[in-house]
Amino acid sequence: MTSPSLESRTTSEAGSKIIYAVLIAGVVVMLYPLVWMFMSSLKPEDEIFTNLSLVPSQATLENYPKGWNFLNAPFSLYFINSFIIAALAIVGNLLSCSITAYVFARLKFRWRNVWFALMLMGLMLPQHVTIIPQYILFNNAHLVNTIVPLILPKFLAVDSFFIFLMVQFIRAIPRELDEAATVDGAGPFRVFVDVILPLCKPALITVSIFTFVWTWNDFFSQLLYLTSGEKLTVPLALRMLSSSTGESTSTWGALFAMSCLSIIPLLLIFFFFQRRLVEGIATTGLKG
Amino acid sequence: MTRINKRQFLKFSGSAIAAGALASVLGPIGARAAGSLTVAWWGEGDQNKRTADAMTAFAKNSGISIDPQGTNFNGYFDRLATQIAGGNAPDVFQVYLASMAEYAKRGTLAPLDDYLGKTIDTTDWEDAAINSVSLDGTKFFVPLGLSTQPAIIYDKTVFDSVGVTDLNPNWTLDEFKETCLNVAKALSASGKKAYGCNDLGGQQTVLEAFVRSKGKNMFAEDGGLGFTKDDLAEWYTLWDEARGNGMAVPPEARKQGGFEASPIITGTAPIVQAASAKGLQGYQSLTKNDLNFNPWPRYSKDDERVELVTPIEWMVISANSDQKDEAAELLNFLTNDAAAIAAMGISHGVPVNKKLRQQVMDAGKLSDVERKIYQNTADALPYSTRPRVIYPAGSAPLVGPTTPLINLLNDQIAFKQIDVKTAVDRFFSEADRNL
Amino acid sequence: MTQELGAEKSQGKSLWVTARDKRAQTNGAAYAMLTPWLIGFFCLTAIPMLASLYLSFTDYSLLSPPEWVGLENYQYMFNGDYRFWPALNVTVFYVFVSVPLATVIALLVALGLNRQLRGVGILRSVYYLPSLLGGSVAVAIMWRELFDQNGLVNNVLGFFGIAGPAWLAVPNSAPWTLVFLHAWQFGSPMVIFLAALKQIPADLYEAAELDGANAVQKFFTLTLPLITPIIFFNVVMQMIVSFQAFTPAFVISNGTGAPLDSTLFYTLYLYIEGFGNFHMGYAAAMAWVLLAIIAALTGFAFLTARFWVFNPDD
Repeated sequence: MTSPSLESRTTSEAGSKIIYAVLIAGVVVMLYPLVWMFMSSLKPEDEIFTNLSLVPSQATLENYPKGWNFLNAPFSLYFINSFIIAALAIVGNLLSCSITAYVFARLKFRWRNVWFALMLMGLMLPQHVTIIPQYILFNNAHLVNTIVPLILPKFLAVDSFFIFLMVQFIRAIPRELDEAATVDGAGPFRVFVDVILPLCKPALITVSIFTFVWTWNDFFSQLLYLTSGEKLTVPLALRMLSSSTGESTSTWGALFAMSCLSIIPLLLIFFFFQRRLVEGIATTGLKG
Repeated sequence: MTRINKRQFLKFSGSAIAAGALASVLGPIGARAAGSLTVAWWGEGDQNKRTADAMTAFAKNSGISIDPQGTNFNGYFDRLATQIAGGNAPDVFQVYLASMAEYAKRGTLAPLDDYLGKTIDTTDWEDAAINSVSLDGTKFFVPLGLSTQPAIIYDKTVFDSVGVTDLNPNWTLDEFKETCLNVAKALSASGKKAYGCNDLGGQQTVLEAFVRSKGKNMFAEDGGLGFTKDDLAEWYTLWDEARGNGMAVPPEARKQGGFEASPIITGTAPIVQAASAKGLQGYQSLTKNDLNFNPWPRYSKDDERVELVTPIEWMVISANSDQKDEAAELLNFLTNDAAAIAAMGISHGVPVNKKLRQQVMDAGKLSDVERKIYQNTADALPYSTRPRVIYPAGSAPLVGPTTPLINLLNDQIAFKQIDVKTAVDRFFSEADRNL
Repeated sequence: MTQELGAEKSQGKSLWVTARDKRAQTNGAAYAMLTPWLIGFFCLTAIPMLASLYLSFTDYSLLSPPEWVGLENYQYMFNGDYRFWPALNVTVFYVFVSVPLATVIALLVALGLNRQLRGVGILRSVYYLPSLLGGSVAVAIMWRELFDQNGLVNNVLGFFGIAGPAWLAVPNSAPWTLVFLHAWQFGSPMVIFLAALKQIPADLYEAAELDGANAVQKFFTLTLPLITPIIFFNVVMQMIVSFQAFTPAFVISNGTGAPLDSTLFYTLYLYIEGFGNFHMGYAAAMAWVLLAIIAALTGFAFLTARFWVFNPDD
């Protein structure tokens, strides 16, 4: 059962209606650019930048099959590739980041603050500089042109963003629950699995959503590590459709069409996951 | 006891891993596996598919398998440089003017003196192609096609609408200015403010055309600049005045973006430039108007018409490649085989092989845009007699593709942040620092 | 050993039972569970970071081995590179304007969406949708069209009688388009706030209501303090990430930082120097300067956290 909505029971009827109206109005601001992109995908190429109105003078669906079949394989291959990488990344992050966050949040151990600071420091160096040594490492291990360099780091808790996120969520869980389990004889690992993890659902959902979206959209590392045509992912394929030099016929319409399509899986994943977000934690947690 | 041992162990293994990893990270180890020929190139539109088709044709003809790594332009060089840093450079890869000298100077390219003229047959090549293969006396580069550079493109439909019919290819700089002003006035009369041409002050290849029209070169054989401060000052002043009197698009009227934001598409100005004649394809696909070429004007009535026909892209062989012979065969195929030309079409320019070029023009199967590009090259060849010095290593910050200084300075002048003299001085001092 | 424990105990922190064996066991368990992170940290983070630190003292083109040049990169950065300070300035501006803006909007919208409304799931998805787009080239084109001199934004402003600037054509207003882009994509912090709000136990609100608290009181005395750890997280993480913002500036300015370097974010400049101008050693130096700045600000944030972030452990 979903947790009771805590705000709406006491906000006045009028207050609720106003908030609702503002949210609906905000939708326009949120969606307008995307509506523009969708309408542009329905225009023929020589109209996209010359006809500035939202509505095409001669609407056409030609950009969709054009974009779908433009590269050597149908676009569905790139969706599948991206999906595989994103799914594996989610598994990796959920496993490694939660346990690492638990250790940082709950256990006192030597040099904890030092490691924590170093963990955060890892986030502060731009990717463009660290990716060269990383690439050399992976290349020496003959792992270039595989998805291993994109997935393995997720299983090794490289995403400090999620570790820190989960640390903050775990710290909000009352320590009495830990202690109750410890009194019953549980070691740190059991406390993690039996007590903390179930109470972290909102955080885990968030980690999953973000991992999926960010992996799906990650261009640079996928560019460097994936060279074969059949390994291409959605961001790489979309860039292949962008026309920056003008040295050949442009494919903007196809780019917009495929960009619109590539939002759909992300939207579905988000919509599906956010419903689980609605289920909050149980109220009196001592019963587990 | 247990803690101390564990600590010691962690310290030791930590530093061992660190030392080993650090060493391995700073340089590649091991050889690359032999096998198929890895070929990397960039392209957009149908360039990728066409080049891939050419590779397939070669694989079929020769039995040498190819591992294709075609990608779009943005990110191509990022990936290439990373691969070279990591030690797994592709056997054959594409380069262009802005950075080819850098790659050669740093030892990443295999000298082709043993191949050019032998495995790679150059007997039917255009002079412009043959003159572009060397740097400092060593041969490195195999041109994939020819084109004019830059290409000045004008919108014939717009010009017709104001009564200016076909521009004169022998026009002078003064006539160019006058035409632009007249067109600007005529177009603005109907209400929406328009101009004659785009602001070309920051375009390095147009500056080169200007410098060449005065009988000089962009770069000298010794690697320094081939023109003087006065030349650059004249150039910047030309555009400063142009922005002020309505001839060229002023900065506030610019639209940010790539070629899709160009004034010729938005209707702000009917004369623009493209990096090469192939750029006509990009512009033409975005507008229904009739676009055509006209060369950069002569410096004055007393000066000759000077044009530049040059390769736009070259292929090179990696210095570390262990399949150089096969790579040379591929390069010979791409430049001299009719099947390759049929596959590639215009994607890398007009064929370097004179005979093949003539064959294609005679066959008459070209599209409208392709025919214009071929004609443009044929028209320009007689005037493109002086070869050009390839942009030297270190020129990237000055005239390279990513935020070149020449463009930055032009913008600073346009926004009235500095004056022409300061800009010229700064350009030359940066040139001293880098070249 | 016991002295350590005594000192910690006197700070009022709750501890395990004081026994040396228990301590070793905790250390052991902690490090055992940290193993994945330790491996990842050493191989994939620490080593590359140290390598890049070394590279910052070299002239490295990526195409040939690095050559030691000592402090030359750093000297040029602070004393000769006229593009460095504008890049740093615009980045600082971007961080200190767009981070608070996005955080406030995200919190307000999360509060609004944290209730049972018809179609709230769809509303949440709509508000998150812009964040899904990441560094999409298509989004950049749309954004440029919107902020064109004659684009929709200026049309709307004109409706209210305001003459909008030429946005992306002029250096003064160009960075603002990027600020607005960041603010438009407030979905990520919003989702995190939603998760945090969901984590507040309902019985706390029931207890407050029994005490007679109204909506505003409940917000300021209950909700807000309880989510300060997440506010802290969002602000700090957004700051760290925004300082390294690259893709928005890259796609909107077409990789040029135009006009006049007004959208040349720090990391964009770093990228141009490293990959475009063959100065990867200089790029590494820039990266470490950035790290120092971010680390200092983050450290400062953590110090101030003591005063305003609610810590349930203490």
